[in-house]
Amino acid sequence: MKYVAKDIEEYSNVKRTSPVREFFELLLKSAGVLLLLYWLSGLLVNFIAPKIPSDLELKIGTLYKNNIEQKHELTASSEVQDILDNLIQSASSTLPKLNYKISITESQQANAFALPGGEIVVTSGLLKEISSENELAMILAHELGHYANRDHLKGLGRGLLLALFSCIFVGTDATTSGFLTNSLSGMERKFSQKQEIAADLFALDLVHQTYHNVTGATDFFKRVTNKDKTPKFLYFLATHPHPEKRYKLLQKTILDKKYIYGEKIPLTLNLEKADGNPETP
Amino acid sequence: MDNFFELIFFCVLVVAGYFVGSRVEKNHYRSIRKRESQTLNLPIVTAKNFLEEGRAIESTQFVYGTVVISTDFFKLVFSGLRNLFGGNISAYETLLDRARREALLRLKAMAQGADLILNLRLETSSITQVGTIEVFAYGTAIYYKKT
Repeated sequence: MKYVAKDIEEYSNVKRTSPVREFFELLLKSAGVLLLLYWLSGLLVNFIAPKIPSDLELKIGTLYKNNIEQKHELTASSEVQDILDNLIQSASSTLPKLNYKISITESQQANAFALPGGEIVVTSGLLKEISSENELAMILAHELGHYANRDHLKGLGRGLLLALFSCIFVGTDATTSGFLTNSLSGMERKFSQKQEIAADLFALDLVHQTYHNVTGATDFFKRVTNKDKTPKFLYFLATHPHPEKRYKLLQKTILDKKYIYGEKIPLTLNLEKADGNPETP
Repeated sequence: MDNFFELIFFCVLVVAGYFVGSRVEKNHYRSIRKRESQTLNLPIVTAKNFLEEGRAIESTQFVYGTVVISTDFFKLVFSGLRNLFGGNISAYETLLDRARREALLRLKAMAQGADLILNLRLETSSITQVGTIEVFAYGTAIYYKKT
């Protein structure tokens, strides 16, 4: 048999189409599936979280407490505790039964966070910035708002489900699943922003209920707004809304609900460890 | 904030991967087609015996061509998304097609002056878990006696 050279005219193995269209189709489909899963898990978590009994939350709390205590030196403060107890008294019906307790940690950064189980940690940097008891009460009430809305448990549940999703997707390919779950955690931050706003509004009501006025309630956000130099568009993916947004919303709510202003109560704190005093425990 | 930059970085990589990858692929195909038509006169068969009857053989030689080829970031992400739903990964089809054809061309380059390549075999091994493969083509080159 004689070999006759013949050029391939039509090659059937490779399609000459652009994959870009297909890529975007796939991206949309995956995003759709993920959003659906995300939405369903949100429903599930919101359904379960309020049903978790307080004693289980307390048990979960001890896990966090041990972890925090390994990293930070925590001290109690009876003055701040008194302010907190005051707030709790007027909000007792809306709060789950937990051991609410104030702890102070040494840190330059102004921050406060609530741990599952009822422990609220306030940094010394925050206490130094604050000018009145009303302002501090607003911050503590905000943290109480997280307990009332069971945000810890919701966050925990969503975190677990998110980890589960990423495990499922990592099974296929780490790069793409990383991207997809990363986008989801962006959504997660939006959710968290919603929670922050809800806690702010809860705090405003609680402060009003306790002090019968809302003096100083917006002081903290106002100060942070003036100090914050982060470009606003970056707040799109932040866990907290832009302080100015929070400030404006609070102002608007105060007007809408016709809350009144009163006299500021000065804050007298007995902070043992002052800044610049490198006293080691 | 970190996530934000990560997302931007990811998108830049995908877009760059697409444009650079497409360009590389286009150039590679052009070169493949050119060399394929240049070497069209050397037949390759998978049969073990396909010799012309009555022609004496001058020599035989083991010839091979090997190529290692890697995916670009766009193809990688594309296949990752495809993995969720299943189906045809066209972006990888072109990648493997290029690798096999290139391996054959390198085999032909090694077999210069041969009249026929018998018993062609192709083997593939993946080097990294996703994205890099080696294609190895080997066969027996037949050199007939010049008459």
